[in-house]
Amino acid sequence: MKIECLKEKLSASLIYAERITGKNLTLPVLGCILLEAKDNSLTIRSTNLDLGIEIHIPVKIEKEGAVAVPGQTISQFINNIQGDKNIKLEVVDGNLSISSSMGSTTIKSMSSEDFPTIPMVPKEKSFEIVPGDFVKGLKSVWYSSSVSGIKPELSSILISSEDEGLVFAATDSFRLAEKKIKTKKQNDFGQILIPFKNIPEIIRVLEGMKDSTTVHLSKNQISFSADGIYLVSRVIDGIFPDYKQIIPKETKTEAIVLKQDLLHSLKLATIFSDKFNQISVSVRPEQKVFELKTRSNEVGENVSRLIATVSGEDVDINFNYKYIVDCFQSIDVEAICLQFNGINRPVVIRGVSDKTFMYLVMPMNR
Amino acid sequence: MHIKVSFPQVQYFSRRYILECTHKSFLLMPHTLVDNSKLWENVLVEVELAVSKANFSTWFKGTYILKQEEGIVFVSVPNAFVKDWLNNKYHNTILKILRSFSEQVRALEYIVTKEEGRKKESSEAPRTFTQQSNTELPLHDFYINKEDNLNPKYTFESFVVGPFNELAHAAAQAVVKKPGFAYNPFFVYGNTGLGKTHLTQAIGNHIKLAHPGKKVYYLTSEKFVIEYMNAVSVNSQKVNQFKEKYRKYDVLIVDDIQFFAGKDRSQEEIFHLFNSLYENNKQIIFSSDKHPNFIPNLEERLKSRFGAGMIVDIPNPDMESRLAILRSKVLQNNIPVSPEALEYLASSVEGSIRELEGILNSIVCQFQLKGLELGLNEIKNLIKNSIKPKKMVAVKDVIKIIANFYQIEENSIYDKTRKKEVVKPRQVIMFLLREDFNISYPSIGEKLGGRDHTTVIHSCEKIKEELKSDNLLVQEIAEIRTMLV
Repeated sequence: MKIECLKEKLSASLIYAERITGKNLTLPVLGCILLEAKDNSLTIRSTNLDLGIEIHIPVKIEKEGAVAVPGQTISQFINNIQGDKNIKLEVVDGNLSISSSMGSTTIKSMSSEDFPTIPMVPKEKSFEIVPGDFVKGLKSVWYSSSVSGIKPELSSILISSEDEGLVFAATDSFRLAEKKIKTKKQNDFGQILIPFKNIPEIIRVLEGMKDSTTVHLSKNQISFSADGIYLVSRVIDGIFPDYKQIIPKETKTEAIVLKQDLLHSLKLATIFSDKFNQISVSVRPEQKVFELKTRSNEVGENVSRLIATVSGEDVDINFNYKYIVDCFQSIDVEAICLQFNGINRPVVIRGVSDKTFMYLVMPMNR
Repeated sequence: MHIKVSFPQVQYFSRRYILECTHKSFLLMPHTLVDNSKLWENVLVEVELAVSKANFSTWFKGTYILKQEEGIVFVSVPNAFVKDWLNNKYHNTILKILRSFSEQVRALEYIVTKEEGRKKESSEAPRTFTQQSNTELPLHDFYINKEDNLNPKYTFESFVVGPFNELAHAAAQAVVKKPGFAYNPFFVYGNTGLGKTHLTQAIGNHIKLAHPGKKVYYLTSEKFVIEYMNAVSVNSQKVNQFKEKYRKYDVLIVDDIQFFAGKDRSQEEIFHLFNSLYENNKQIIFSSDKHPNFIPNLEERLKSRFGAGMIVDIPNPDMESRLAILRSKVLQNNIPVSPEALEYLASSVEGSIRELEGILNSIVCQFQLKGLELGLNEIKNLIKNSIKPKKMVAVKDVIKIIANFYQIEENSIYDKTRKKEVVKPRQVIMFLLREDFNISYPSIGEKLGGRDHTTVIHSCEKIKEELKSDNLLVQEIAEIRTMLV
């Protein structure tokens, strides 16, 4: 293999590919990135057998061929070399040699023969997405996924189609986030469960895609393709819990507060929280009181009173403040609405006038 | 040096791991896989010699033979990457080795399946944060699988087989073995609460197990009708979607099809759907509370098609079967009920199994409240209200209904006339009074104008005999019975 290409393009692609290489796998070649020069383009491929990526960039080819190069090494090197716009890559004695005006380098490489292929998802079920919207959906909910991995369905993000667009949801069974994104025309594809640990890479790659992205879906795989990039992820063959039935339909107590106010008070309150991150919320509609209380035996205690519009019944309820703070990143509007349903039922948090996002938190029982 | 020593251990682990997986598959499907697990074990031993250790443990971990069908070996793989790679790289190697063991093998295919073993790995991961005092959201799984609508609780293991339903059960087993070929369509009918839904869903669940690639779908005729109406009312595109949706299934189960009665458009749709599935050898399973010929307002072409495969009847369970069912339920619920009490229950609750279950549930509830073993007396007290009184009916009413049915004068029944049009209804009346209402022969005779009990016996025998050959009479009696209830 002997090629010449723009350093910038190669470097950007290698950053994507490097993150998807397989670390700590028994097969060393999975820690590599495959470079394959053929038909005037360079294919960059990597996989950890959970995610796979293939990127095509146009290059000048003097000799076709392929090589598997340790991902971290080549990515770090190409990102940090200075000088020319162009660089030359060549395989010499099975190793990759890189030359520019600033010098030459040889990276120990492996045979491309053992490098796996990336499965192509059949084109039966496919639809178009706007990458920006899709990323927004993922980012709005993915922090709610379960990190434990005992239940694969809970360690995934649910994406399902509705009449008006896409619904994203995630839960670790202590809280639940749901975001609806409107799309122009949505094919009905049922539901997809994407493993939570693949989400950061999917977000990263999708953020680099500008225009419309094509999604292909099969029982085991989902793929995103646009701009010469092809990303494929495993999907979970399972069924997300029936979460719609736990969304409270009525509200006993409602409080509307400014997001900034609540965030400030939470920050103060957390200084005094105990090791369970417990925070007590008191709502007294008749006295127009909305209070946050925290107490720690070592540090002291704090009561913050907020300006809020409150209605309904009195309520005293405890939460893990971390769960509450988490959802602020997904709420874009100024005011937040908290709907309580008694001490053993989850609280619903939404942005006022924002119907697209909903967050449920289970109270702490003590 | 140290690393070299540890290599064989790694390999040992990977081999053992693979063997465990093969073993597991053997447990899942006991009937076919004794050979498969052995065969795959042999293949792996040879593959291991041919490829590097790292390759072996990466690509062959968690694989096993799912099934063999007509010379095609289906290998289960954990993900699409492995599927792709085995296909591209090792296909010929594996096929060659397989052939050397078994000459019937012609082709090799890979199927991605859920791997139970892989779950086990992840469950060992420690939870990273403490949540002792946090309550969980009351999340529940969809109990009913959304993709196929089947309820996993319905299996053959939980299906009690007795003399009354053994034919239906055996036929269902045959359907599971060869869906689409054995009995197509498979039609089960019987009164409510005798296990039609259980049987049909069990077929679905077991086909899913035995033939992992097959798409199974269960629905009630009511749902079909509603969906069809909705599709029609929107636009033609929706109708096409609707048609496509049902044509893609390999096994379609439609429950309670008697509700199609009188719904002409839906009948037409199910007719076309039936034809298209049937032509492609897709299994179709129906259940109904009547024989297809007796479902009123059902088009002839549908009736004849429903009867094309196998029609089985589930009659009311006999006493022994009721007892067996009760025993299995008691065992499931783990409640101590004395054998005499069970026998009493079985003999006093006749008819549907659902009723039997209901009564048993109330016993379970009582047991949990009081925490005592329930003796015969307690149970007698308990079910006093639950048992339906034996059918009580005025003989006059029966005569009136049947006379009306045959459009003759009610009084002519009591007369001594031997006109043909009166004799038959009279015999039918005697037969039904005896069979359904357990009235003694002499008293039947007395109530029908002072006839001798031997006349009554003769009439009953005659009708019984005719029922064997005369389909029209069978139909008439069935219709009269529905009027008498």
